Amino acid sequence: MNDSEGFVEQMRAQTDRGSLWSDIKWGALVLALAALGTWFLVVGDPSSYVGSRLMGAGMLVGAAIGAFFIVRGAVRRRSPAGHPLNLQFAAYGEADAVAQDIEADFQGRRFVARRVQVGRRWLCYAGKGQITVQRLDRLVWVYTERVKHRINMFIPYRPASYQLLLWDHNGRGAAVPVRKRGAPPALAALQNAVPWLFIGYSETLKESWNADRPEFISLVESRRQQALSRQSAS
Amino acid sequence: MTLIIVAPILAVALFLVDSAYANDERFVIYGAVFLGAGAYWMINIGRRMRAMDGWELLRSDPRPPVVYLRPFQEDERRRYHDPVGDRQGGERGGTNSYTQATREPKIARQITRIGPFVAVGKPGDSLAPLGAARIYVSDDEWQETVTSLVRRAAAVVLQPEASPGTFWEVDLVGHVVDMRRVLLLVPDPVLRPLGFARVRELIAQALSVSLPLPGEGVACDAFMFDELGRPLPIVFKSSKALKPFVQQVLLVNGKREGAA
Repeated sequence: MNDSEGFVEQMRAQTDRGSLWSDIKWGALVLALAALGTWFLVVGDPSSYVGSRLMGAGMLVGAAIGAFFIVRGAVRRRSPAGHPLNLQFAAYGEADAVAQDIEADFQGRRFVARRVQVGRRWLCYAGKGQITVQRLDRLVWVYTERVKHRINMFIPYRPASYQLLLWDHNGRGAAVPVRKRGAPPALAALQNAVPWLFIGYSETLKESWNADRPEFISLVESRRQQALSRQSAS
Repeated sequence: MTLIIVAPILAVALFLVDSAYANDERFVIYGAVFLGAGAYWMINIGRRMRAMDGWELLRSDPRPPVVYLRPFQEDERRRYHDPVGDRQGGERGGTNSYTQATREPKIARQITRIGPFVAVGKPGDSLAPLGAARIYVSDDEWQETVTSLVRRAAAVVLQPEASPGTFWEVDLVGHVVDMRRVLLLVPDPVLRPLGFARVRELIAQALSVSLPLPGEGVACDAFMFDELGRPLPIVFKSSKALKPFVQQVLLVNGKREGAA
């Protein structure tokens, strides 16, 4: 990664790499499906001629649809308005202005892929085909979620993973993958940048979020006003 | 009608799947879970279909009724296992399971010791929910019906909320009913302090009753009121949780009848 590039440009480059990697993965799947479909169509199972051909034709149709979506996604990403990063920026206003503000917020910092980056006003994450940009003053509740991976709800097939859940004042959430050890520093950075946030999970917070959301958001807003007035007083 | 259509389709589908996967052990487990859930659903629907209409119940039971006043959305409110909202990115550990949030079925069995338990039904209900027997009335006559029911009620189960209809009901109860005969359902002050604070404010305005502050009180599901108007918390833990309220109401009503 070129350190002379700005933070946003580094994030854009990571986003492009993530998209390319995602296209390669899906492209390989489409090619495998097309190859298997062709085999069924041409060679197939001699004992079930019609069934084999039908399956082959179905696979080829599936591969064609998959290829269409991959190409369409790639074409869309080439236009500035369709770029995934600009789509994230657009949620907060004019994309260029948002990019400038993020650049100023992370002034002098290097973007690290697959790591949550917390500034004074923004939170950024890019990795493995996911891009998340959140304005910190819109967040109301943040906690770490442990995701268990199990077959049929019982048999674990890989260790639990962790993610930060960021809920904003519109009731929308963003889940950002983190390592187990990476979660506490990220929460501490958020607590430092946005002290009025509710940080951590409890049944009370969950029930209040689900059943009394207007009051929950008002409470965060009043905590924010108090924190800002304390800051201006000091 | 839905059952008549769905049941045979379900049976045929189960038969086809069973024929195809009869040798697979997993199917037996999934089948048992699926059929168990289906049976529970069918039993629940059957009980709701057999539930007596409110007017019919009032005709068959001569005792003064117990009236349940709540916002209509309470009939469908769900309590989710996880936080609810649109989520972007990350992974999902599973589906967000839920249970019905209403406490109506829990209190119905105990409260019917006082009198027939009735509530105004939500317009558009295809089947009445379990709990209080539903009385269905038109929009222009519901206030008249509720007033008449509350005036002759043995007790009132009140679930206040910040909606105009419920506020009117709370106001009515404040003017017409002795508070010793009121069971006030509230959000748990420990689990939902914000919802409790909202209801507390509403009650203070409409009934001039002061409930404990969310941080001061213990976890509870409801309040009953003693002869001095003091709120006494009730937790719906056991099947006899409402016994003190039932006894108090029977005592107060016995005195009232004796005086009359």
